[in-house]
Order: sequence, then structure tokens, then C-alpha cells
Amino acid sequence: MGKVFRLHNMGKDTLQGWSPIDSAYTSEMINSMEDPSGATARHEITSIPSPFARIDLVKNAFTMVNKDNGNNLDGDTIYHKMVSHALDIGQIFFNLDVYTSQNNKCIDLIKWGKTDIKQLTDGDDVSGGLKLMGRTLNLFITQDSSCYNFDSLNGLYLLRYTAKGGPMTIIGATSPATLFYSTANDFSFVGEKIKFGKHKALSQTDFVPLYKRTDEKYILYLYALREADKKNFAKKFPEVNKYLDLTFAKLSQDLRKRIDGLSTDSVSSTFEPLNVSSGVPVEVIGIPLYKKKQSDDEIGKISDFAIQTDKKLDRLPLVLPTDRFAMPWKYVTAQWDPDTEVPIDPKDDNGQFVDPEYRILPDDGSVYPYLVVNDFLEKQIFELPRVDVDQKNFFNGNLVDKSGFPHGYLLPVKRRYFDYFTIDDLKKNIKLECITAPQEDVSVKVTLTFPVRGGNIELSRIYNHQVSSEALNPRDGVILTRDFTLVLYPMTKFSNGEQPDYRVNLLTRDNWQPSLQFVSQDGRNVPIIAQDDKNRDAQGKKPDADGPSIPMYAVQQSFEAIEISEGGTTGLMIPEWRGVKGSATFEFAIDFGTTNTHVEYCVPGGHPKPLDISGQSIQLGMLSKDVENNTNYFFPFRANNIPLTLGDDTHFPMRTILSYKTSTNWNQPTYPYVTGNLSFCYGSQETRAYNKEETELKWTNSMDVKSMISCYLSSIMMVIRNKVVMEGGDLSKTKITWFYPTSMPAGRVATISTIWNNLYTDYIDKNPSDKINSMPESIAPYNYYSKYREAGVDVLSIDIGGGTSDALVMDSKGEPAFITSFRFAANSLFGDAFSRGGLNQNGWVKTFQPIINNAVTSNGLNTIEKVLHGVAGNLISADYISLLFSLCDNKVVKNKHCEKKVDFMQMLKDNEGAKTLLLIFYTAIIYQLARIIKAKRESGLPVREPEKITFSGNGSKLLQIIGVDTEEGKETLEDLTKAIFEKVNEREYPHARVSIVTEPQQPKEVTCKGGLIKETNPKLNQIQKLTQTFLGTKEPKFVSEEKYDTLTENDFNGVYDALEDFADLFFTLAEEFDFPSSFTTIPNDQLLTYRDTFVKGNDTRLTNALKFLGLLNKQEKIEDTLFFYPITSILNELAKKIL
Amino acid sequence: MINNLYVFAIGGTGARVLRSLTMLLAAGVEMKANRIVPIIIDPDEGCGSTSETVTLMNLYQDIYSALSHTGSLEAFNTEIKKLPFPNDYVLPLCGNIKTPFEDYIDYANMSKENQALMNMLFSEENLQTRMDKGFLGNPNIGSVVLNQFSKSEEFKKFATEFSEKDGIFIISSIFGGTGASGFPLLLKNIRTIGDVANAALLKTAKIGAVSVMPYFNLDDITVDGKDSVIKSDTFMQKTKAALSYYEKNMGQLEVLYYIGDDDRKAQSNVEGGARQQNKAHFVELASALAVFDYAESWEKLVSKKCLYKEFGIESKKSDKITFTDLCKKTYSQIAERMTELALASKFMRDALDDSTSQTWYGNYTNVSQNDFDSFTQKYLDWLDEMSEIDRGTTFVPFSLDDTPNDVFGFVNNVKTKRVASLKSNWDLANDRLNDVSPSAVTKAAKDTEGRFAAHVMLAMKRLVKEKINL
Repeated sequence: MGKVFRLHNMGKDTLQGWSPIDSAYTSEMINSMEDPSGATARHEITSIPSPFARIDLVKNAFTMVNKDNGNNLDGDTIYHKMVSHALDIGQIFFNLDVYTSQNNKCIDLIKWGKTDIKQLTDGDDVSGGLKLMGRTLNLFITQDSSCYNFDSLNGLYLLRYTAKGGPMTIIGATSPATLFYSTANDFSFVGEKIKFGKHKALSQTDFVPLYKRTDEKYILYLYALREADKKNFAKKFPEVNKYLDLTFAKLSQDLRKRIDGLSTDSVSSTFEPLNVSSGVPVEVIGIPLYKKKQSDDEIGKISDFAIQTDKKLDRLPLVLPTDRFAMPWKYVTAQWDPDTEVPIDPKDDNGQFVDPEYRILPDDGSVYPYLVVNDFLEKQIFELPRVDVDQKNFFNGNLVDKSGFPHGYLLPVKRRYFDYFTIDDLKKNIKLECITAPQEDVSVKVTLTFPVRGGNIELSRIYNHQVSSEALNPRDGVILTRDFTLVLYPMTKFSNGEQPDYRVNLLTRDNWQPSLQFVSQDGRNVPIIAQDDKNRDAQGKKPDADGPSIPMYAVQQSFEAIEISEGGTTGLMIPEWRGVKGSATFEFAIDFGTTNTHVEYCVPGGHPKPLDISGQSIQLGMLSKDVENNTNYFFPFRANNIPLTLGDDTHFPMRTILSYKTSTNWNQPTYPYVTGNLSFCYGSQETRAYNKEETELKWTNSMDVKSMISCYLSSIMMVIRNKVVMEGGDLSKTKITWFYPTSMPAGRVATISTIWNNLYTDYIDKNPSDKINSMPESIAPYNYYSKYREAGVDVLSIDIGGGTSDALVMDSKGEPAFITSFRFAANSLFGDAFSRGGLNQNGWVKTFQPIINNAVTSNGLNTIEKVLHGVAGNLISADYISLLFSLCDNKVVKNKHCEKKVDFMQMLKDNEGAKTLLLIFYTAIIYQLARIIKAKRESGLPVREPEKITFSGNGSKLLQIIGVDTEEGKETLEDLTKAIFEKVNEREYPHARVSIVTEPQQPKEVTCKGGLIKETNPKLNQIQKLTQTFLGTKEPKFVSEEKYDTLTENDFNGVYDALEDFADLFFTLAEEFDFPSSFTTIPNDQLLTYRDTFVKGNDTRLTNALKFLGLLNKQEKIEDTLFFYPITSILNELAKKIL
Repeated sequence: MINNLYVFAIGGTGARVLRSLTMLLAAGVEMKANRIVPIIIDPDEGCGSTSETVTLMNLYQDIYSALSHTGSLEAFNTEIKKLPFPNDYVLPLCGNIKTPFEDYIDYANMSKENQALMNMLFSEENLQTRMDKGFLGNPNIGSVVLNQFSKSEEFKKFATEFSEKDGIFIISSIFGGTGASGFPLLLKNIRTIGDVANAALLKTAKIGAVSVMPYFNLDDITVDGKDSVIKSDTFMQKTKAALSYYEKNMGQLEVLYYIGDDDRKAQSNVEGGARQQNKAHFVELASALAVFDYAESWEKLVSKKCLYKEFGIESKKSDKITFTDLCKKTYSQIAERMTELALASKFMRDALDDSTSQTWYGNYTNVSQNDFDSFTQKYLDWLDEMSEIDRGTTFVPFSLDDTPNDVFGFVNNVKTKRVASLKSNWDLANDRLNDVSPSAVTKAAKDTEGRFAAHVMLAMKRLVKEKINL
């Protein structure tokens, strides 16, 4: 046994000196050479004497890892590294689209062709370096051709990494010997951008054999590539071929099955050609390479994290957990690794937020949209201070709160959520949970559950009260407590074809001025039609400095959520829409009165009733439960919005008052509730500094008032439309009847008619056709009484309002004989007649103000005191008196049980002077109507003295002062009435008696109720024919074409004569009926002292009145009798004397 | 018999094997070639091994020239011919190798595609490597830089002079930089040379080569405080990788000698330059013997049919190999010749000064500091180096200490013989020196220096025969 100087251990050891051996060293012999550091060798090997050394080394590396029959595929030697890197390079080629896409570009493909050697060999090479290199390349390509397939080599495709490193950072290339190979350089930085699952490309420490690669497609691809020409592949790439063989045994059964199923054309059918340019494939010795089909939706189709939504999306983004997630779900190519770190805030290298579309999947490297908690949840959440969200109206986020204290939060959900889901989805999939945080503070955890292919994935964030920024976990959020609330109406969704019209009133304190957006189903902003904060003047100051900001928004499209935002942070409020859809026909009658306005409605099969909002169909929704009890918000809430309920404390009939923003410019478009609205809380709370109230809407002539009327009526129309849409009605079937006094000048009626038509089209239906109707105020009550009180023939229907009284005479056949209307009504009694004398000059006010004030003050009715003070400041006596009448019905008064202390009606009933004035008022009306009937009868109409006189209108309540509300009192009044008729007609009454019919509790409602009964509803031209204006002279004369400027002295004298006649009648009756005993008036002797008042100075009174009304000598048709003008003045004068 | 045996010695290992070859030729080991024409290929111009060898060969050739090679004297009997290269035996390289590789290849003027290819094929470290200290274990660089034989005038000269009676032998190591790259490249160049007169001859020339595999390790991981570029833990990987490459790409030789030693100990690590003068090793000697073997078998070699050979010794041990551990063939080839020169060298070192009064010395009083003296000193150094115990396998044929009382017992494991003489030790040596036939000396040499060398060697030859039982 001798020694042979060799390193392998395979030959004989008995060689004598230099002795022949069987062959060159074989691979087997080479492999048998013991390498003491072989198992851990890390240094790059360079000892191949060829410029193509690297190609050979990688080829050899495959040989090395192929040793041991597949037991050496894993390892950390230099060979394993080279194989791993070669596979990395192959995988980069396979995913080349990912790294060359515009958004994630980090790789350039450079083609080196064999012909490029010419540049080296043929150039004008001074140093000789180029030629030397060119020659060397040629030499080796020729000499070593068969071993590395250089004979088939066309070129190499090189990957240039562009994201880092030098300008020519070539990280790998195709190899004619092993398909792919890498360089010897440490380019581990490539792994920062290019990762395959957790494996970072070209890592210096983590070497991954093929069978452990997570992208099954890549594995399949290499086998498919081989399968395309298996024989040739094995010949050309024997090491890789063997590597694939050895790897096969280690693959999953499923994958093995798929590989077994590969055919020669699998590679081309399963993968996309990898082209260097169009039609020019990247190839290795003529074998074209392929790439993964980057049809982007693919990831969305396979990943368990792909969002599942009914919305049609081009690609399904992944929802990735930023918290640890350990479910064995398929991610992109492999199972999800719980250690995968998903950025909380995906940003690019420059720190810029990256839109989901352009994001690079963590631990994968594909540009594919994924979504994280930050895409859906804000970093801050708005909290309502110590108050719950009212779940009836707004979704509370499925809040679980065991703290024992109220907590309300807006949903910190970003708009992006609605790119994928609906509001309904959100409501199902969000959860808020109050959790006790350190220092006994309460934190809230918001969790969104996303349906994804694998199941559900939860993204959540914990919001804490502000802690120092150092202490704040970057994953957590901050609670922003903001004192505000919001009301929305109507709380209903509109049906298709219906024009939505919403009002949203935001009320904020602490000078917080966030903005609101209205969000549609698909996450878009819905336009805001109008927006104004009444408590913010042109200078941006608050007229009511202590009051909240109260911006009101008008929105006329459907929306699903309201988004509040402050400095980029948003919070969502999702209305809980309610209401009943239906097709019922609702009919409304609106009696827009001088003093009071009433609205009645009826539904099919129902009786008419006042417009109401009941508990079942509350139109308005409040965000927080405490609005009604929160003194900060209560007043502005009530003053500027529709009432929560209607029909109890707040009800129709209601004072005709428009409450509007003081600085309103009425030449600009106005919107109900934004600009102004019906003053629902009139009389029960002080008017705020930013609001102004207008009472004289019906009769005032000015452009502003026209806009005001429109604004006023539209605020009613909104309530009406809300009611219809919420209570099963169909707007397009909705009918509206409105009333007008026949004494109203035709032009004004036309104006109001236009307003009504516009309101109808704006708020009810674009096609009004016969659904909006008007009716004289005189006809409607008759309809009511006819239906409910057996008033048939020979009926005189008198409607006494605030400004006008309307009368209808039904003839003996039950047909309307004539209609007349005069501006002599409640205000004529209590008002300031034809002067602007104001409260100080008003006898009623002077007498009763101190009494009322005393009652109010002594009963601690501070609010009423302020309200009275406020209305008194308007200097309109009629408004003031009207308010006095309403006091006993006032909620504040009722709450204090002081109704009787402030019962103005009772005060008047107890006042002799008042009753005296009422008798004058009543007698004047009956006298005038008796004279008209007589005149008509004498002219041949089939009319006669009425058998029934019906009274309606709020003014008719005044008859209670003279006892109409008692049986006894009514009989006396009937006797008196009969007497008036007999005296005027100078004949015996044709009926046994006359009966007075009233509706003492709701006389005002009678008009509307009658309006809803269409039994008698003459056409307009009929009404015009029926309408008669009695000039008011003693000799009966009806106005035909007379105008104010054509009135003669005879006419005026005739009026004075009539007044004198009336005085005679009145004083005669006073004697005959003994007014003091039958009506408890002032003593007759005292009364007589005022007789002169009745007959003297009427000329002055009349001209004053005409002048005041702007009618004197006007070239304008006479629409109103002249008779009552002087009487109005007389009553005003007497009030100062006898009350 | 080969007329001109062109011996290409590539890199440091090549130079060291050439040194051993020179020693063996000096000792008179029979070379079946009329002359050796060494061609040193080494970009490391200042390489210690190279300059040592060049000096040695110059010395050898001086001695050779002084001898007439007509008699029975074997020592210094083969001519070492120097081609007219500017720097002795060294084949010059074109271009400025004192620049980084990327400048050398004019990277900056390459097209983008070619630049990309360069970055793919060569590491950044490769591209920045300066090559004036060899290729530092990067034969892939070497394969480019050295690929200029066919274009150099010197190589053309070699090619022009080449005849069909000539042989080519290439010495290189496989695990370093220069040798590993130079060898295949040289081979490829010889085989593909196109524009010279003897191109066809070169294509069919019988070429032998020894590929020296690792036989020592490097001592230090760091060199001058920095991580060394040459790392011996990669020697084996490099070797195996290169061998695999040879396996696939070296079918152009007629005989390939493989040698290496798995019993390796460290050499101190010096990266090129003058300090790279690694000590002599038995493997180098054995590699040099491959040249003799090549020449011996040259005539029988068949073109394009490569023989592969390995070197064996008789004994299994690897430390302290003596002549008796060698196989018989090797023993008979070198033992007696090496012993003769060793004895001569010992004499020159230990006894010449005391012998100046001897009769035989009278003719040489002017040659005291002669070439032969210098050479024998180097021979002793060489022997000494091979015997150093930190070299792994040591070759210790002699005990070279000065032992005046046992002058002939210096051949380890070999006994002395008794001789019928009253004289002993150096006295016996002087007696035999005095006894050398003047005519034989005159016949053997051309001048005084030659005669001196011939005189001493003739005497020592006789003494070895008489006294040492080889």
C-alpha cells in the first residue's frame, strides 16, 4: 500500500511514480474529493478559467445540490446559494410584468446578442481591451461550445435592476446551460423590492430550493417548459433536468398530479409568451420563455383575501390584516404567512400615500390592489359628549357599551368603503365596542368585518382619548369629542320618480364649524342645493352670540349617509330611513289665513283632520337623544325646523307667521327652513336674534312678501310632502285645495294662485292638472255644515277670519245664490284700524296688557313674558291680541297649569265693554248681509232670510264673548239676528226662527274640512258670477265696474246714510233687547253717549281708510264694501273708551 | 527524443515546479530532450517564485554552458534555453495590467449590451481587480488578460521556431488564479493559432501538462490586517469546479498529469509580490518529474488521445518521505543523482574551505565564488525547504547537518558502505578529488568554472557509488 498524490479516493493506491490512470477525472472522482469546508463554504468560487465561469459555476452548483439523490436540495452552501439565486432569477423572468410595470418598475431587460461581440472586435480599439475581450469571448464560445450550448446560443437576456445600485446593476440573466443564473455580487438589496412570499430575492442567507418555493405556478412553469421538449431539455440542461427530477418527489401530491398532466403544449397554453418586444420572445438557446399570466384579476380570483362584494369590480382587491393573522389561507401564490407585515399606511419610497390600485402586495411584489384598515377607518373618531346616538334615527354602529354611561360615536368609516359595499353591508359588518382603557377612560374599538373568499376578515382600530403622541400606538386612533347634534327630515327614502327634498340642520357648539357632505349609495357626493347658517351674518358673526351654529342644508337627491368632516377627518351618520311606501291619495286643504293658517287632510275612507305628525310617522330624525332636553340646542332646533310632532302642543291652525333669517335677501332664491319657515313655536319661545317674524303676509303688497308667502307656504308644503311619502301616500296623486276670500283683488288672487301652482309642482308633482284647486273661503264652510249639520237651503254661511269675513247665501233650492266678502273681521275689532298707532293707541291692549302681564309675571311664566315683550315690540296690536288668545293653549302655560290665569277669552267674556264692542261688530255684519239678501231678493233671486246661519273661521270664536257658546246665549243671539233681519227687511221673518250653527272648538278648521268636501265646488267663472260686492250705500248697490276713482259723492253719502241707518238699528235694538241684561253690555245710557260717534266723522274715517289702504281715487275695481271701513274705525275709537 | 521541450510555467506554482525541474536537471536526472525551453507566464512580475526560478535557471545555464557534455557526467546535462524575451524567460503581457480589470478591458467604451454582459459575467470585485499581482484566484479574469499569446511577438516567435520534434509541456496549478486560467487558455491558443507558419504543427503537437491541485493551505485569514482575497477554504471548491471544467473542456491534450496532496498544512499567506516565495514542496518535485515522464513517453504519445497520470510512492506515509519511500522507478530515476549533487553541495558548504590546500584545488584558486558554489547552496536550500516539518508532506531524503565524522551517512534510511581506504569523511572526499583524472575533467568542461564543477561532480559521483548503498 502506497500513497498516491491525489485528492479523490477512487483509484488504486499502488501507482509507481507517474502512472497512467483510466481516464480523466470524472465527476464521480471530483465529487469524492474531500472538502473540509465544503459543507459550509460561503465564498464565491471564481476559479473557472473562462469568462463564462459564472455559467459553469451555476451549472456545477446544480450538480452539487443534485448529489445524494435528492437529500441535498436543502442547504446553505455556496452551491445552494447559486441554485437558489438562479431560481430567483427565473422567477423574476416569470413575473417580469410585475417588475417592469409602470408603477413598480425596478427591472430593465437588456438583450445581449452574440453579434454584439462585433462591437468589441471590430471597433477602433486603441487600448486593445475591447478586442481582447471580444477575442476571448469568441474563443470560449467556440472552444467550449458543446458544454454550455454556446453553439445554439443567440444571445443572453439580462436583468438590470434599476431601483438601487449602480447604473448597470445586472442581477441575473438567462443561461444557455441552466436556463437562468445570477452574478457573484451581493445584490441582496434586490430583496427589498422583489420577494416571493417571505423569500427575498438574491438573499445572502436564505436559499430556497424549488420544491419549497411558494409560487406553485412557477414550479409548474419550469416543468411545463421541460415538457415542451423533454428530450432536448434533458440533453441541453442535464443538471437542471436532474434537479427537476429530484424536486418532483418533494412536491405536494396535488402539484405532482398537475405536473403529470402536463403536455407539450401546456406551457404555451397555461402561460403567456415572455417577449422582449412584440413578437420577439425571450429565449434560451431557442427555447422561448413564458411568464405568469398577469391578467390582474387572477389574484383576486384565487386569493382567500379577495374581497367579496356584489359590486361589479374589474379586479377584486385583497383585504389584508395589519394585525397578526394566522389562518391558513391562500394569499397569492402561497399560504398566508402570519409574519407577513402589512403596512398600516401603504406609502411609496418617497413617503407618499399609495393608492390601492398601485400598491405592491407585501411579501409578494405583485402590483395588485389591497386594502388595509387605514383605507376604511379614519384615524380619528367623533364622539358625542355623554349622549347616545338615537338609534331610531341613526345607526349607532352596533355599539356595545357596558360602561353604564351614554356614548355616541359617528362611524369613522372612509368613503372608500362604498366602493365595495353598501350602507346595508356596513350596518351588518361594523361593530363598535366601548372598552375600558387605563385611567378608567373609555376607548372604543371599531371593527369592520369584510367578507372575503376565505371567510371573513376583521379590520379594527382602537380609538383612545387623546394621549401624548409618543404614547399613541400608531395602529390606534384618537377620539375627538365634539358638542354637536344634527336633525334630518324627512327620515324617509323617496321612491323612484319622486323628487327628494331633505333638510339637514347641523347644530354645533364651541365654534366648531365642520362641513357636511351627503353621500350617495356609490360613495359620491350629492350636491347641496342650498346651505345657510341663520346664526351667521354676512360678516361671519353670530347674531345670537351664545347660540350654536346652525347651518341648514337643503339636498334634493337621495343619499345614504351624511359625512361630517373636520380637517380631513370624517365621520359618517347613517339615517335609519323609515316611512311606509304606498299609493294612497292624500288630499289637503290649506287655509292660508290672515291671522291663522290651517291645514286639513284626509285619506281615503277617513274624515278630514288637521295636519298632524304623530308618533308613528315622525318626519324628523335627531342624531342624539337629548336634543329636546338640551337647552343649547332646543330653541334653535324648534325655531328652524319642522316640529317633531304636530297636533298636540304644536298644531294647526297656527298663527300665520313666517320666521326667517334677519338678513335674508328676498331677491335671491329662498328655500323653506333654510331661509325661513312657518313659526311653529310662535308664542312659546322668544324669537332668536337672528330671526325676524313677518305676520302680515296675506294682504301686504310687496315683492318681498310674495317671496315670503312662497317661503311660508313651502314650509307647509314640505310637511305635507313628507307626510305623504312617509305615510303610504303617492305624491303624484296628492290633491291640494287652497282658499281665497272673494274680497281679495283678482290680481292678488292670481298672484297667490301662481304661487300655489308653483308650490305644487315644486313640492308635490310636476303635473298639477286638476290636483291643485282653489275654493272661495265662503263656499268651503257651507260644504262642511251641509254635510255635517244639515244646512241645506236658505243658509247664510259666514266665515269670520282675521282679515276678512266671507259669506255665502244658499237659495231656497239649495243652490249658491251669491257670495260676498268683506275685510271686516277679527282684526277689525282688535287691530289698530287704519293707523299705525301701535299698541299704545289700542284700547284692547291698553286694557288687557297690564292684566295679562301681571298674571304672567305672578305665575313665573318668564318665557311668556319674553315672548309677549317680543311681539309687543312689533307694534302690531292684532298680533299681540292674537297671541293673548293663544296663551291658554300655550305649552308653557299648560305645563304650569296657568291656563285660567291667562284665559283672554274669559277676560273678554267678563268685560262689558268688550261684549258691547262685539255686539256692534256682530250686528254690523248681520245688518250688512241682511241688506244684501234683501237687495238680492228684491232683485228677483230665489233667496230669502236664512233659516240657518253658520259661522266658521277663527273670528267666529269671538261670538263666544256674546254667549254663542251657551244654549241660552245662542238663543238670545238668534233672536237678535232675527230682529236685525226683520228690521232690515221690514217684514216678518219667513221662518219660525233662525238657528245659528257654530263649531265652537274648531271654527277655523271648518273651511278646510269643507274644502275637502267637494259637494259644492263651483267653477271659477261661476264663482265670479256669484261674487257680489255690495257698495255699502244705504240704497242697495252692487259694484259692477265701479272703480275707486269713479266713486261719486252720492256714493260716499250713501255710505254715511247706511251708517246712520245702522246706528239707528243698533240703538233701537239695544233698547228693545236691553243689551245690558241680555248680553251684559255696558249700560244703555252709557252706550247712548257714544251714538254721535256712530254718525259723526264717517267721511273722514272713510277717506282715511281708503287712503291707508292705498285705494283712494285709485283706478282700481272696487272689491270690498265701503261700509265697514268707518265701523272698523268706530270700534277702534270706542275700544279706548269703553273697555 | 524531443529536441526542444517547451515548458510553459504558469503562475507561482509553475515557477516553483520549474525550480524543482532545474534542480533535478542539475542533479543529472535524465531528461529525454535536448533542451528545455522554459516560458514563464505570470502577470505578477515581482513574484518571488518567478525571480528565484529565473535566477536559478540563469545560474544553471551558466554552469551548463561551461560544461561540454561529452563525457559521463550527468549533472547539468540538459540545456535550458532562453527565448529572446525582453525579461528572461517571461512571456510579456500586453496592456497596462496595473489598472483595474474594467479599465484593462476598456469597459467604458463598450456598448450598453456588452457592458451588461460584463456585469453579468464578472463580479464587481472582478472588475475592480488590479492584475499586477496575478489574478488572485480569479481565473475568469485571467482567461481574458492572458488571452493574448497568439497576438504577442514572443509567442509568435515560439510558434515559428516550433518543429515537429519539439514537445510542449504546461505546468499550472488549478486552484489559483493565473495558472488555472492560463493553462486552458494557452492550450486553446496553441490549438487555434492561425496566422503563423507552424500553425498546423501546433494543432497536432503532443502537449503534456501537469495540473497541480492543492498541496498546501494558507495560514492566515487576514493579510496585512485585511481579509485575504485568496482563501484556502475555497481551494477545494475551486479545484473541483475547475476540474469539472477541465473534464468538459480539456480534450486537447495528449497527456495530463494530476497531482495534489490531501495532507496539507498551512503556508503563510502572501498575496503575490516578492513575498510570494512559498517554500519548496515534494509535490513540486513530483510535478517536475512529470516533465521527465512526458519527455520519456513523448514518442509513444498519440495525438488527440489523452493519457491521464497520477503519481504514487511506495510508502503510505506522508511525513518525512525518504528515497526508500519512493517507488523503485522514481528511486532509480533520482536517488543517486540527487545524492551526488547533495554530497557535492555539502562538500561545497562544509569542506571546500578546508580543502584549498589540496592538490586538486590548485587549478581552481580563482573560482572560489563560482556559479557552481552558488547553485549548490540553492540546492541545499531547496532540499531544506522540502524537509521542513510544517509543510504537511515533507521530503527528507537527506540529513544535511554538518557531520564531519559521518560525512556519507546523510542519506536517510540508506546505509553507508565501507571502502578500502585509510581516509575517511572529507579526507576521503579530498582523496577522491585528488584522484580525478585531469583528462576527464578537461573533456567534460569548456573552462575553469566548468572544470571545477565537473571535477567536484566526478569525484562525488564516485564517492556516492563507493560509500552509499543506494
